[in-house]
Amino acid sequence: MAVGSANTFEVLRLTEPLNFWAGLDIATGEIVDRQHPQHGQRVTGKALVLPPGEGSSSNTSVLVETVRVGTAPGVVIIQQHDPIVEVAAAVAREIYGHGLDVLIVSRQTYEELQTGASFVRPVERAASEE
Amino acid sequence: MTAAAVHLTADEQRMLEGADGPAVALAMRVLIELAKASGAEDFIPITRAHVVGCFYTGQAGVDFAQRLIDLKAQVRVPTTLNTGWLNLRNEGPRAERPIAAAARLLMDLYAQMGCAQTWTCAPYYLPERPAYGETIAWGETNAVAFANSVLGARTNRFADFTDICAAIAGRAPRCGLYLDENRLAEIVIQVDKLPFDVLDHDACYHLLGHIVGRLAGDRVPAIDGLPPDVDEDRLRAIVSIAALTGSLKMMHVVGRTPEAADLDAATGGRQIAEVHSITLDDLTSAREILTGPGTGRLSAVCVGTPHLSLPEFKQLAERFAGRHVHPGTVCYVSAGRFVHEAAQRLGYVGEVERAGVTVITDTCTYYSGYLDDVEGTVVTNSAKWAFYAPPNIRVDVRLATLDECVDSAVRGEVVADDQFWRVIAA
Repeated sequence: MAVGSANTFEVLRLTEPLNFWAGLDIATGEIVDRQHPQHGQRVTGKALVLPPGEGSSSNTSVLVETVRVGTAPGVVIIQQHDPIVEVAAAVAREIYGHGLDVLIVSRQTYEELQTGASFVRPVERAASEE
Repeated sequence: MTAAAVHLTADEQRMLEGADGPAVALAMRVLIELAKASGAEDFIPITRAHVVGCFYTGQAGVDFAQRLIDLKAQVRVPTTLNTGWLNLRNEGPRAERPIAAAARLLMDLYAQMGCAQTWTCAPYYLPERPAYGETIAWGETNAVAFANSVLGARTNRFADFTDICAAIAGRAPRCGLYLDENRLAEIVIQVDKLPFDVLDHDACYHLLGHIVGRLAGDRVPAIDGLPPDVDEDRLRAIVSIAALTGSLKMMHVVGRTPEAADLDAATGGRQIAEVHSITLDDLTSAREILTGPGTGRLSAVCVGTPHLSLPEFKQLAERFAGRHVHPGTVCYVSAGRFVHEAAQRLGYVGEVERAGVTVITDTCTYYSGYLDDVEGTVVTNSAKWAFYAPPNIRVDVRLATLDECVDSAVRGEVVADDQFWRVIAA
């Protein structure tokens, strides 16, 4: 959960799938895969918009690790259910007591969220979470 | 957007509420999230599990296993363990590193939960392999694809965290390959253009698997035109690389695998619009992709990915008989403990060890530090090794036949003279 004023997040949109295991520095939250279009950006505290499709199954562990060390995205935004991401949120909640916020948004909202924009999480959902 | 509720039986509801202890309740909470995210409406009982979470990937994995142990977790169904980060029997080159302690602890925590210490990526070689139609929860990409395709058992691909939760709850979300309709072929891959002498060579099946994965992606393919007696090792070669180049979890081989007596059985009688035909050129280009730039200098030979079968162990022992690995190189052979013990009784282990081969159990050479100091080209007969090792441990690799692997090890140089490569390049 984001804290303080954190209902507003800066958007970081991944325009290609990222293998988090090889491509994300857990300690800093920085994308270190040189081939990736968002190389050099940090996911920490952002509204991280993931590309559609099934990601690498090792992404679950890496997302939980980012929760553990405090470099997790502020909210992960997907357009369709994604077991890789949603299991990461459930496991982080079980072991660290706080999860990874995951939001499934409409196709229109999903497409509007471009890197650098602000994303305001719907208040109603924020209030109902934890 | 909220997910539809997952229907629980009265028993499952009690498990969620803690009647079987807090570890089972935790497992149910995670599985319910998995079910919602997978579109499953309810759960299906499983008879056994194979867990990959015992491989160290970071402290979170240890924290999760420790939390389960603190809650007194025990597996509810017979559960086997995949390879770990180190070889527990002979700890090998990385045993002194700080993370070795965490990796060892993680393996120990899974053993404490009642999992059998099998430490193999080839659980289908253990006694009492899953039966046709049996509902299981397996992790490890090659094992999942082998179980669905070759055994006709049913599993989705489980990963870290969800695998052990399924083992503790004895349940899995009912979706994906547990359901008849998702097991039917969606594309057809014909191999009838490949000549018999090509189809009669083990290496063909590694290359074929590379192509099948790329064509199928995450869909179920039916391969049509393979010899009806194609053996398990060759089917395994196909699925173990196809699970990586695509995310293949099941394939049919028409006339060979249990749910594909004929093409109609594989497709459910549906007309399949997407049909591919594999050519010799396809095989050649797959080999080029799987072979690095090459320095010419041999650094090591690696055989046994996934872990060796007993017939493969026999072939290896026959080829090494009376020969010796060149002093300037190393040859690693990886196997599960169970196959290793059987091979010991049959004299295969003695034969290859007399030849100077190092036999490794519990882990794999592409992440356990055995190749940390090598420079030059690694020769392997495994497309999976050739695909995985370069990004993992930054080695140059050459895909070879088993004969070339043995000859390379004995001569201490990269040997690439098998007739097979000339046949497919013709």
